[in-house]
Amino acid sequence: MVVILIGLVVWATTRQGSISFYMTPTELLAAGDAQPSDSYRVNGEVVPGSISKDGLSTSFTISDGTTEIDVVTDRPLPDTFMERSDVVARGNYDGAVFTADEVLAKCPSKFKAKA
Amino acid sequence: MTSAAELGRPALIAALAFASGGGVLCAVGAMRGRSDLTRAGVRALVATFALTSLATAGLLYALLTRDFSFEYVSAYSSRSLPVGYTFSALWGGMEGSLLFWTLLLTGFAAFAVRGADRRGSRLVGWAGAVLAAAIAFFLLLLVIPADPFTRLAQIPADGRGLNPLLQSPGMMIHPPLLYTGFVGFSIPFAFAMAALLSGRLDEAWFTSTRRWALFAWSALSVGIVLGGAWAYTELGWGGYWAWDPVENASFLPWLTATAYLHSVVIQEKRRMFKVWNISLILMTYALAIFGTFLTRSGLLSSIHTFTEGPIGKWFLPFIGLMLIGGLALIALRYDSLRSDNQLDSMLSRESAFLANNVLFLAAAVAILWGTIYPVIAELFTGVRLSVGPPFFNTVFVPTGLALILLTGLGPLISWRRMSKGALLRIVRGPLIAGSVTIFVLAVVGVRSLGAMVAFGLCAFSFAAIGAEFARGSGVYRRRGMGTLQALNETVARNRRRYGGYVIHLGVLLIVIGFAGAAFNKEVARPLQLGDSINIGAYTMTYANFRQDSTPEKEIFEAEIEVTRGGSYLTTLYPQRNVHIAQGQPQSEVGIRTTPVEDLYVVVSSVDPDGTIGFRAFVNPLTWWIWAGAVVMVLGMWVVLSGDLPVAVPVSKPARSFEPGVVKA
Repeated sequence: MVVILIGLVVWATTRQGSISFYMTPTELLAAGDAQPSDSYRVNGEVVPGSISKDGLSTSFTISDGTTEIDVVTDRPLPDTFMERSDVVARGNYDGAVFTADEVLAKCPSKFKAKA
Repeated sequence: MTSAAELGRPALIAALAFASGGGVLCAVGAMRGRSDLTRAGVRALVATFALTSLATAGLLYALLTRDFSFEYVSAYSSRSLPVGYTFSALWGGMEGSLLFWTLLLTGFAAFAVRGADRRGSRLVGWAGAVLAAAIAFFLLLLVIPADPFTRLAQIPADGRGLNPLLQSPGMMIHPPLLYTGFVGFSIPFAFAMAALLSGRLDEAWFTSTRRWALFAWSALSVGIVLGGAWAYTELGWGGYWAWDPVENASFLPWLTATAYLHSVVIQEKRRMFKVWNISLILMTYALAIFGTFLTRSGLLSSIHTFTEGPIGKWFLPFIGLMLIGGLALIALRYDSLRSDNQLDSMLSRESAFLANNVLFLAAAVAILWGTIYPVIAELFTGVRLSVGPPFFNTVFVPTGLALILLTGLGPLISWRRMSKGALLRIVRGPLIAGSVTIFVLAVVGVRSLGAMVAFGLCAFSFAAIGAEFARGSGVYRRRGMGTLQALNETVARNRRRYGGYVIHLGVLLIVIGFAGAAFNKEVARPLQLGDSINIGAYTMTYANFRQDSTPEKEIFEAEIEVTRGGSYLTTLYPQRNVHIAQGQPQSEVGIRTTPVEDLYVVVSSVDPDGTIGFRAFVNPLTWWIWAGAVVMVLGMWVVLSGDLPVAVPVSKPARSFEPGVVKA
């Protein structure tokens, strides 16, 4: 039984999209394009004034205070997405632009982080 | 400025004193066998509840009178906040939610120990002591690191207001229900620990808290479903569950609690699995507290942001002490916890229950692993990782499907042992129902293997449960009753059993809803006024829009005309509103819901010229999730509204029960 459970967990771990690297823009830049095809999640704050839209495609810049990274996505954005919101973008980085398959903005639900 | 809320902090400090004193009295009373001391301790716990209520009333008063001199009031409410949602502000922030948690805990504890004391339960002293310790921990948090009554030096003119996402009816009841569930498990946990501490390891600890366990489980179940319903209708992403750490934190104790509710039946009937049951309730309580810790420690990145407050580090020693203490007690009493009986046969109700437990626990372990894996990985490798939904779906779907099979199969198997021939005879009908379902689905062209298996297993279990109802009511129909009357009589005579089946039916309906997600469709495109877009059989036209504003928000409402097969079907009015106080946009989705499928439309952005970012989903069978939840609630009502007599053991009882605790 335990063996089956471990097997299931290992199998699940190897599935596409199960595990991704979770990084700040600084860490992502340091990792460079060593693993360009890997799936990343990058977390940062949306830089005010950086949001621009072109049809369904949106581009914006996220920052962790020291490093900024340009993100582009053609996916719809959540309600909580706006300037200064804390977002997690999932996708790939080619060394210049982060192409996101999904952008999540932390919902300031319940216990709002102190500004 | 003086205010009734001034009483809040002194009341909490007094409550802490009463809880500590009450705990000591209960413990000494239990050790020395002095029921007078225990009784005094019980009274102190009742006083603790009264004082905590006073503090809560104080905070509520400050919120309702918009007394912005309190930091909490200015952070979570504003002048324009409707009165109804001012109550939500009570649990909208960390300090308030801890106060609310403590209120529930002191209230439940006072009722439970007073009731047990009146029934003459001999577990009351230790149970009171354990509960008092937990209460003292939470009161300590409220007095030191998370004081809800902190004053501001400068009083702001208006508050920052409650997060608009929380201003919905679902969010008024979802958090209290989850808290009721989490806190409710304190009672069976405390009585289990009392059984270990006192060495009275008969069935009294769980029979006398059965109603609490069922009540807590019901509240948690409904709370989780409401959370999903809220996410579905308010967040506008077309889904209801994302395997986010905060969601998992509520699901983990649900899994172990569900295992517990099933496995106590075996202890009751066969005096087996004693260590297992105590361990399950310990795990459930630990996971409930762990969830609270997880969501407040900032340890994991979650889409739900909680204040990464200073209270996270307080929880670790509390959970550690509880787990180590609990496990040490189980080890100490291990000899007294031996089973009175052995498994007679692999083909028996007992082994079906065992399989059920193993599956629930396996799911819990795998999901817990996925939830905390990022923390472990960072600790050992320094690399931060994130575990996504594919992991959780891969581990949960197979275990869930196996549990669906057991839902139907388990009740058909008899206690102790059953011959293979007898089993084959009894499963023939359900097996045919399941196979026919899969065959029909294959013929009509369904190609999702997972969904086909899910529907097939649901059909199997529906047929099996239906057969149980038919068998049960057959006795009464033969006496000349009509079908409905016979069914009613069957359920009334054995509420626990048939109420349980009704809950199972609800779960099956929910699974049908989940399986429908395999056929979800989605489109997203900007629409100009007059544009049309297709999804599935529907054609949607952006016909018009309307703008309006209220003191709270600026409203943008799109008018989406929906046709199917060329004929007019309905008009949906999705909104995209901007809440003025927070500057936060919020979507109000437009949904046409039917048992077959939901058409779900969202305006994701609005341009000045009226062009909208438009997103539409077709979600088949989602309706059944909510319908199943309603059926589950009906089943919970059937179980909880009756007496909960102890079932007659299969073999002779090893010992008699304490007087007065037979009815839980």
